[in-house]
Amino acid sequence: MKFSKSDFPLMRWSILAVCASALISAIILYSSGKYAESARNERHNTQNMLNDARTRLATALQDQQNMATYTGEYGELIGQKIIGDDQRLDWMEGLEKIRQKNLVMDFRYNIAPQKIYVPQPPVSSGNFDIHYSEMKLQFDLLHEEQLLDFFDALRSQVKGWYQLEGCTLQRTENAGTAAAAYIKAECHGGWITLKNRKIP
Amino acid sequence: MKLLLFLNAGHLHAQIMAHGKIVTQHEFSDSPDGQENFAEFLKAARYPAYLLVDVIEEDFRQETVPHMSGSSRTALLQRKFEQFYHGTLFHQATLLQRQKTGRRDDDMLFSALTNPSLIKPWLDIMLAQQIPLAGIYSVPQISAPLVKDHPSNHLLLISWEKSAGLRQTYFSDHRLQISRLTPIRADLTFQNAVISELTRTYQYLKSLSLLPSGQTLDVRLLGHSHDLIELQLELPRSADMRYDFADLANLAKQHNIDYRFTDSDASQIFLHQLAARPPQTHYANAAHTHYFTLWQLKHALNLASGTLLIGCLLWSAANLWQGGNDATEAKSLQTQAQRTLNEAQQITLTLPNTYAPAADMKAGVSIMRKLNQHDFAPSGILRPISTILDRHPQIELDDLAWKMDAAEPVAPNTLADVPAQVITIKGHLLDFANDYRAALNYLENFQRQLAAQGYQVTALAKPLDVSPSGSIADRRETGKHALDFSLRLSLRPPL
Repeated sequence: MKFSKSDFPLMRWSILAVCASALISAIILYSSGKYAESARNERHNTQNMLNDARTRLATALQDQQNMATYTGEYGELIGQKIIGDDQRLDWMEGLEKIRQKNLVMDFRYNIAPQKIYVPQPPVSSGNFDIHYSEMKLQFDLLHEEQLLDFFDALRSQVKGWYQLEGCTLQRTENAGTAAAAYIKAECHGGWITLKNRKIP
Repeated sequence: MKLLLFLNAGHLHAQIMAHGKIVTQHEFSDSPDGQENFAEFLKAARYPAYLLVDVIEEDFRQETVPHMSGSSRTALLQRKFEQFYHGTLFHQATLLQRQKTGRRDDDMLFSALTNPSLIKPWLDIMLAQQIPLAGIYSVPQISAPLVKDHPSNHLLLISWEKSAGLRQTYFSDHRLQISRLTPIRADLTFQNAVISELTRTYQYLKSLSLLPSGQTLDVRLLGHSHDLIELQLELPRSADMRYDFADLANLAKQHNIDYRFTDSDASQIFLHQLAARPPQTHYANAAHTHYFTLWQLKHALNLASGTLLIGCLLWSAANLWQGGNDATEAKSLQTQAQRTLNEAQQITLTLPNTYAPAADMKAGVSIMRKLNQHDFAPSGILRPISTILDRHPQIELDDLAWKMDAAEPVAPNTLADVPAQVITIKGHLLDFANDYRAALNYLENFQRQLAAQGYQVTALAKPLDVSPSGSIADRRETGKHALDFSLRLSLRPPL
């Protein structure tokens, strides 16, 4: 089968029909595809909007519940000066007041520079950085109960949170001598404060 | 729509058919006027044309050729056509069967319309008018379907074409072997022609050895019922021939031909048969069917256009439907989102003005609650041990150290996320002299009482190592630290 130029007039309408059909098909496919894509995107966006709104509602409900549960306790933390910056002057004043009460024969303290604290096991801290100012204490005691009294006073009379992590109590060799310490103790721990990263 | 043409010597019948029915029909004589009229007729009848020829000048030759394929076969057939039918373009070769033995050659039927001048004028007019000619067929070729249901292997089909004459076609094993046309004469009726020609044809078949000796020839006669009744009475009774009278009306019904027969002219049977099931092979060559090929291509293109357009329309409709659904859903989601946002806003407005956002308050309080669990007041550590020590006056404590240790292994039924208290006790036993057994039992009892309080007790150093792996020496000194020991206690809060 061979075609010649003279065959083209016989075929031209069919060829034009195929071309026109292809063109029209492309246009309607493109247009309908665009419409479908735009509608799909709109649905996707509104679905995201709804998800966002649901998250906001859940957050609001959670906030409502959290407010009721935590406001009082949080207020106490603020009152205890645990939320915010280190209050080293308060700690020193508090320790001096305890010293004046002679709860122990003698004690010495040493507060180190503040650092970020990572509790073990780890604790989720939200927007807060947990600050830790290590404080080592050395005691001269007549008996163990003095140590307990000291830490009770520290907890109840000084604003702040001292996290006691360990102590070593050692009986001294000159025990029994009048006015001499019977037990020497060394304790370590740190002052904990919570600093909200979002609040400068 | 199809254009059916029936050509015989001196006459051309044309009919336009649609869905198996004749729309219009015309007759043209083989004369300049007739051909001019035909050309005029074709201007309005530009449909695919099927030319059926019923002429005397049709020759059949059976030939056995080697089985070949491709270009070798084409060349072989071309050589045969040159050899048998040099002067005509209208020839064809039909495979009758492939032999089952020997070289398994092909039994072929070569046939040709040997007088092209009968056909050419009409064909030239069609080509000049660019009529899509599908093929040139002959009545014997079209007849095969009319006998395929007949059980006989030696069958003579007799039909009457009013404008051509009496056609006798012989089939062996339902395959066309030979065909004869007895032309029409004014004084010759269908019945007379059958009676006079049938015996001659029988003799002719015998002479060509196409009909085996002693074989009964089955004769199928196509005709109108009236004519057939007459023939039944007039045809000679003979053991050599067996008749099968086929009424055209019944045959038409059998082949779904919508035509009312008024005489024994079987032309319409053949024309309808050709319109419904045109054979694959025919006498026309590629040049003759050029416009038909173009017509097929044109239709294929039109079909492709239509299919493409419909397909794309359906696809687009699906897109629009999906888009519509998405748009409706988007609107509904938007309403829901707005309602949910309003609800959230209402709740937010009712929240009191507090120190910090609720989440921060929760986080701060949670941290301190957790750290509080990590923190043990010294009283909680020292008092239980003091109580047990009070019950063991023969133990004197030298050192006591404790610390919080998260790395301590977790004992069963204790909290894993709280550091363990690890306490180290160093002391010595008093007043046991050399009664080591009593001293060890005393210390053992002390350890048991600690364990009863929940401590995991490990002895770091014992006053005396009596285990098989230990070394023992005699102890003459009885100093204060002769019975020193060291214990490690570990405790986590219970679950």
